[in-house]
Amino acid sequence: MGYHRACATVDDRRQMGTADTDINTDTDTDTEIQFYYRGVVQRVPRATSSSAAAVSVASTRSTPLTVLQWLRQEALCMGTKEACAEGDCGACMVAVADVVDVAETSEAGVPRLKAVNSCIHFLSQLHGKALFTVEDLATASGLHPVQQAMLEGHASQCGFCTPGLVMTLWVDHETRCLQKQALPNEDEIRVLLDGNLCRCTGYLPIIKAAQQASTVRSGGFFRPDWGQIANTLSAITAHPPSTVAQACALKAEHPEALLLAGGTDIGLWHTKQLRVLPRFIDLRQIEACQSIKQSEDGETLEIGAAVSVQAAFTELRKTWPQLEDFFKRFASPPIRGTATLVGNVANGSPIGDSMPLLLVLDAQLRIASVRGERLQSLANFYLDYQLKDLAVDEIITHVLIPKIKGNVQAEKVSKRLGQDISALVFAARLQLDKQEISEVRLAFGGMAATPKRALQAEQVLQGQRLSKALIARAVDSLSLDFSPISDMRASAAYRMAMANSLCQRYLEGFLS
Amino acid sequence: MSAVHQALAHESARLHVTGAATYTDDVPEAAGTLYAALGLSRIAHGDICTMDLSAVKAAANVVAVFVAGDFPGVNDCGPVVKDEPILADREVRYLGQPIFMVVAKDQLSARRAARLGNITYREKTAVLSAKEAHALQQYVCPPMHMQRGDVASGFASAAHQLSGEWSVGGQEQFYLEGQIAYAQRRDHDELLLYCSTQHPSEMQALVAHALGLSAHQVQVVCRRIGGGFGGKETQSGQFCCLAALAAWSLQSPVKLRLDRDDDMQITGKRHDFHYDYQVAFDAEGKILGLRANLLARAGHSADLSAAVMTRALCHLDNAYYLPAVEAHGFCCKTNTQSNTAFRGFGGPQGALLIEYLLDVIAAQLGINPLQVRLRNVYRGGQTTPYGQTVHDDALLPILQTFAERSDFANRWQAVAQFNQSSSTHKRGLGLSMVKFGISFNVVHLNQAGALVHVYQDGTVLVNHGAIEMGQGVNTKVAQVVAEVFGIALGQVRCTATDTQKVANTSATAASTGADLNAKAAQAAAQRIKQRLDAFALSTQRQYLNFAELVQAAYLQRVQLWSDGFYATPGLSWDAKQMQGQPFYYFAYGAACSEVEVDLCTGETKVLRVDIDHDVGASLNPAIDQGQIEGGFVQGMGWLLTEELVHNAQGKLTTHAPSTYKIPLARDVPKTLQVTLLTEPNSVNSIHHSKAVGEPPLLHAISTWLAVRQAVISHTPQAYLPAPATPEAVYWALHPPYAHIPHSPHSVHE
Repeated sequence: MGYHRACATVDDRRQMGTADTDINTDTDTDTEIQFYYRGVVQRVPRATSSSAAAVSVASTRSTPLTVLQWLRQEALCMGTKEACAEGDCGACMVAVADVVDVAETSEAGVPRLKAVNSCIHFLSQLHGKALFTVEDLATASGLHPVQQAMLEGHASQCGFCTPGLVMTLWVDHETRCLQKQALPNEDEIRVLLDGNLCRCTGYLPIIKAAQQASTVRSGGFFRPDWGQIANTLSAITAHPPSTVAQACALKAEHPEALLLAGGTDIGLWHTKQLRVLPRFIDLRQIEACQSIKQSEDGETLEIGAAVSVQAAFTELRKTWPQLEDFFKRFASPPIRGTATLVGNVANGSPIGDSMPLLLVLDAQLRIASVRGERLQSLANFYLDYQLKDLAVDEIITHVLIPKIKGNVQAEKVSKRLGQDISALVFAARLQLDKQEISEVRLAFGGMAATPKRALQAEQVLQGQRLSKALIARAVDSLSLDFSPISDMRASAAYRMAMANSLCQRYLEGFLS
Repeated sequence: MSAVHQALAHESARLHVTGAATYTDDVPEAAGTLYAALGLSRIAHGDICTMDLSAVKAAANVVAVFVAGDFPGVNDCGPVVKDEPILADREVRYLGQPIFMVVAKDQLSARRAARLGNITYREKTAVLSAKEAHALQQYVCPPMHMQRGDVASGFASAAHQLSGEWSVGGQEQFYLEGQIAYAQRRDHDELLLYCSTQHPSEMQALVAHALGLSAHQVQVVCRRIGGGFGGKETQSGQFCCLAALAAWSLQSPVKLRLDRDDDMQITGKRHDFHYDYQVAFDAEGKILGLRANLLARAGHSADLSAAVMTRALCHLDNAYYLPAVEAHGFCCKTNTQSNTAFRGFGGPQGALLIEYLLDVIAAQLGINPLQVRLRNVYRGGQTTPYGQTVHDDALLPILQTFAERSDFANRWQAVAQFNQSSSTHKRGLGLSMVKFGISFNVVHLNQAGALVHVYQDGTVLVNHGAIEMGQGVNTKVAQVVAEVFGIALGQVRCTATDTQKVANTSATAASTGADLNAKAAQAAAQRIKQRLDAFALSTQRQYLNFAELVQAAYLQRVQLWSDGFYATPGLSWDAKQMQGQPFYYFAYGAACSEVEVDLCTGETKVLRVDIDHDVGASLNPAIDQGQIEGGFVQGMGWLLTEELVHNAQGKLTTHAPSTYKIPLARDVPKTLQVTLLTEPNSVNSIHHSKAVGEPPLLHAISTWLAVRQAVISHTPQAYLPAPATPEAVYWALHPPYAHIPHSPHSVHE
């Protein structure tokens, strides 16, 4: 029995991996995924769509690869681990740097680096970006301060989660070095680690190691050559679509195609449901979708379909600072950095965390197709379980959020404080004019087949003078709005009780 | 400097942080490697009527499909009782049970094909809970009975009695590295198996049994595993047998790496327990009698349940003297995963009940948890219900010192004051102790072997029977060997556990890994050392260093390698009477947790935890500290957030980290003060250290007790099960039918 690269060291494997992927240098760039890793541009054939797979040519594959699959199966870089394959545990954490930002901000020299769950990140999403893995961090001159602190602080036991943890901490360390940011405090580190499970250590030595490493800002440790990386990546041509019109044309031509931005849910269709996926239309290169803009009157935020949840929350926090704790309970930092706010809305899960908040803010969606553009109120967007007012050729390009100040609140209930799917999300907004309620919005996630406003309860409150009795009537009427289900996250009765008590607590806050 | 008793880094730490540590899935694959996936039962109980696997066979890239009848040996992987089919044969016994295996050219093809089986069943009633099975008297092993003292007169003489029912949930091990086996058929009809297991010798035996081979044809190799926690003691066997079957039959290397969801659906977990109890106590809170039935959900097969129940019964006393006890253990046969070992192995479930009862008694008498424990804690010379004398008079001093260190009395007052002043949140202070018996409850397992090689350059290679699973056993063994030779730790290297090097090893379990294997390695090293000493004496000269001595000894034909063996002395166990000396010694400790509960949602925050834990003369204080903190946090997950939910059809609906919530960094209390108690072990354990793998998990009992204290400060008659999830806490605070008197205990005055 022969051995295939049986004796390869990590470095040898990497070289072979590079050689493998270099074979297809002649292919059309459109069919190639190009990204920077280990000092060179890696070129990997793009997966064909399933419809095209029937006429597939030898150099293409019919199944998309995740970054983790590419690393472990093709590049034979085994440092990055798979433990859950659903973006929850962080054993597969890698770092991805954004080329656009590298080029755009070259003056400031601040590339955008983020930790990414490679198990649910498609390789195609790396096109034009730089990838870093745990194999990058140790150099001839020694370990990175993050690694050194983990080693000295007894922060690994079985070691299986360690490479992922090291990458999460490295992204934070490198980002703080680049941006000359202050050292993280203990609370920030704990939240930072929401995306990494460790079953052995109890985390304390990891938290201490992160603090220790953050004090080391100079020395001969690994720093990417950002200038060189920016130059290298600027030579990579973006894949279409780069305009909304192009995206609409593609969607009209391929109505079965999946719109991809963060892909944190579609990744699960691949790894967990083993679905044969249709072609993707990646929205992230569309300039109009990449930014957060103020409307002309300055009253509305327009958040593009390629804007991450984290970037959106950072902006929203400026208007509604009271939501910070709620934002920290949305998934985990790597998911927030990869997933998009529009994606969360478009996915339309009944337990999605952002939609109740957007509902009480009277958010609207800008929806485009070859037939034109329309505005759609979010309140009327969800028709039934996974059924939306969205035609097959349509694309949500933006979510429009009016900057309505005042008394906005959102709360989440789940078994675990960090990185959990909600049992229930409650969001509310209430305007008092003297003692009368001039405007009120109450919305819930986890209480119905869709994210939904409590219209009956709102009606009870609207125009009325706030009192204990009124609150009791409003809370009672929630049972007219909702009949939740029982599942592994919560019983129907608990969901109803939480809806009642959170609503009551919110409303009673106005009495004092 | 001595190599032992030092806070040295884990031998693989550098490999861990650089990603260079090799786990089974990282072993370079041989050319032609095929990939296996499993087709699982979609019902909890029934007979297979028809099984049409044509679509599976016809799927793209599929090479072969295997079913129950394909084993050349016996289709069974039961480790103790042969009652566990590797692949379901005619009958399915739980939802998720493997029925067939598909082997394909790539993993995705195999996994896709595994979902194409067309199987029809004649469904039978599924028994899902321990209580249901107990009512049917359906057990995986005979009920067990432990009795000591005159229980009837204990009750007769007592001023107070309480009786009631209570329960604690199970727990998924959630090792980060999932189950995996990679088998290769070698020349001369040999099989090489790389796998993630805590028990290579068991894997060897199970594979040989399933394939009809002899043990000497099967080699199992494992360098390290990415967490085990008991979940890879026996549970790795099924996957080893399956990968081996495919590799043997197809004459190709075959890898079976489970998807996380399949892993959690298929494999056993910590047993959930249901208790019913009667406890009698005097006016001071001293326990005079205890009657208890312990019902464990064993699942569909025996696995290790009998041993788990034995340990549960042997830890029912925990740190407290029970003069009269009558306890019965029932391992209930259910149509669920076959529950198995998990750190503590029944010990936590036993100790949990008595800790709970002490708090119930204290509340009943209006004394605090410290006072009730001071009145019941073991004194040196008292005897456990199973007849073993607790020789150390350690527990009372530990409790007294700990009460001061943790400032228990003042904080008890402060919590009461906080609770009076807050209408939205309540705090609770929980106190618990640990007395954990060290040794396998099955006497013959308490043995270990090691092989030590000294090479001519003075470097040393050690092989022993334990598996490195993060607990640092290789580091500790290397420290012990370095100490024997008086050389630096860097001169000693531990290698992969390999059934061809040390035979007939025991599982790395029961906290005994370092106790047993370091003793064996020490014995081996000492034999070499004695030869070297004798040689040095005979040559009448001084050697510059170890390498020079070794080189000289080699030239004079001194044997520079040796085996070593260790068997724990003085153990005995009568399984029928449940009496004997099952433990070599006990590890002790005490813990105090303070929590805050949100009355509106039932959400809990652990604010502060203090732990005093007895590690003896620690071999490696840094590693032991890690075991204590990690074990505590794992136990906290068990009792607070980790909830296994089976739906009415018997499907485990919490089968991935998206639905099953182990603790995160931000769940760990801001203040976690661990103090190592380093009084040397009074018995001749390895350098008078104490085992530390499992005992610290029990400190987490204090967190649950603290939540209950917070809850009863608001709702005195609250019934709170474990785990104390936000929902469980909410319903305890706000009983759903408040107009119906809701009391978990009936009180007899």
